[in-house]
Amino acid sequence: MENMGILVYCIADTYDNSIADIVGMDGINKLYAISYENLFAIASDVNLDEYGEESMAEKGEDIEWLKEKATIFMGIILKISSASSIIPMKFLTIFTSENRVKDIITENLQQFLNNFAKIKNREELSVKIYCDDKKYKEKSMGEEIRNFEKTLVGKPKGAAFFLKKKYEGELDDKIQNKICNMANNFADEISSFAVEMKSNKVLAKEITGIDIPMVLNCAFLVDIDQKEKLTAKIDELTKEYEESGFMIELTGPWPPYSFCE
Amino acid sequence: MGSNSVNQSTSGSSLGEILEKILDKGVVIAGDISISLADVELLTIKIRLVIASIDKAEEMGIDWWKTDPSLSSKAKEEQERKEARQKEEELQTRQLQEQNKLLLERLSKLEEKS
Repeated sequence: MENMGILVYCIADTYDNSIADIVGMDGINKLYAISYENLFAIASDVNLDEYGEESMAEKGEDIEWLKEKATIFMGIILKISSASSIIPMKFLTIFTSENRVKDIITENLQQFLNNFAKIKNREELSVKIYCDDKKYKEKSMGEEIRNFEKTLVGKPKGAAFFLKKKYEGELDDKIQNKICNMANNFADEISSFAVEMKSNKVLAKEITGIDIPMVLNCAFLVDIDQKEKLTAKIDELTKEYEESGFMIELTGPWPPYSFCE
Repeated sequence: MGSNSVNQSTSGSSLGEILEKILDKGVVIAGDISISLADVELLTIKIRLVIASIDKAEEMGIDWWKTDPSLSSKAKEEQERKEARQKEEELQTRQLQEQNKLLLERLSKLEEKS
């Protein structure tokens, strides 16, 4: 008798036949729905020999395993969400029986219904802004720096040297502040087209694989019929911002990871 | 649902985005099996490094909303440190200028003599 658990991917408010064709995380068992209280927990069976606590303690060490499984998991989530509105579960939420899954639906029913009401006909888009401060300095600080250098003309060499040193010390902070303000500004302008905006942690270079620092990471919940306006605005601002040394990354639509409570 | 995909590639460069979402977001419901990869109990060194580097970015001051001194005591400390450094530099400058002046005076006295 195999030691099986039930891995739940998400809660859906409708059932679409297509999910029965999707193969689950383990590459073997297909997805199915546990229906209760007019909601559907989308799940697949997994072998607890691989997905149980003991085995996970080792798997947790294996970053290649994590990368592979995380990617597969997200692929499955995206497939499900293309057919239904979903509330996504955290990675590897596993239950020991169907009754336990039904318990969870009962215990969290109101919360689930509130979430579905909030996300109905809406999508999550993610905007990440990166900035290379050297590039920003080159492209945006030229005039200011030249103006300062003019003020040094005619000053005695010693004084000029110290003034320049002081200015350069302050310049880096100035640049950081300007970059922050511009990033904030971008988010503000976009948020007028969104229902809600959430600021998320910026991701470090080790995790993005991109050489320049991330300065803003936000998620927007947008009405489907406003989406075009929002992305058009992003395109418009992106052109401007790229000229100042910024890099803008728009991804989505995502299931409402940032907007479910 | 199912509108045009803006960019949902699950290639290497967006792995960070995937991990950020599936480990850290969504509804908070614990399963029966105690697997929480972001959880301290199960967190191994490698994964800690991945998550910790997010915090490192914040430490380096990239977390912009925390650098306003009126909002963050850490930012206030940083500002005070900066001001102290500036004062020290100004003091050094003055000292150097005075020294310079004295040396010039001595030099001109010597030149007068010869």
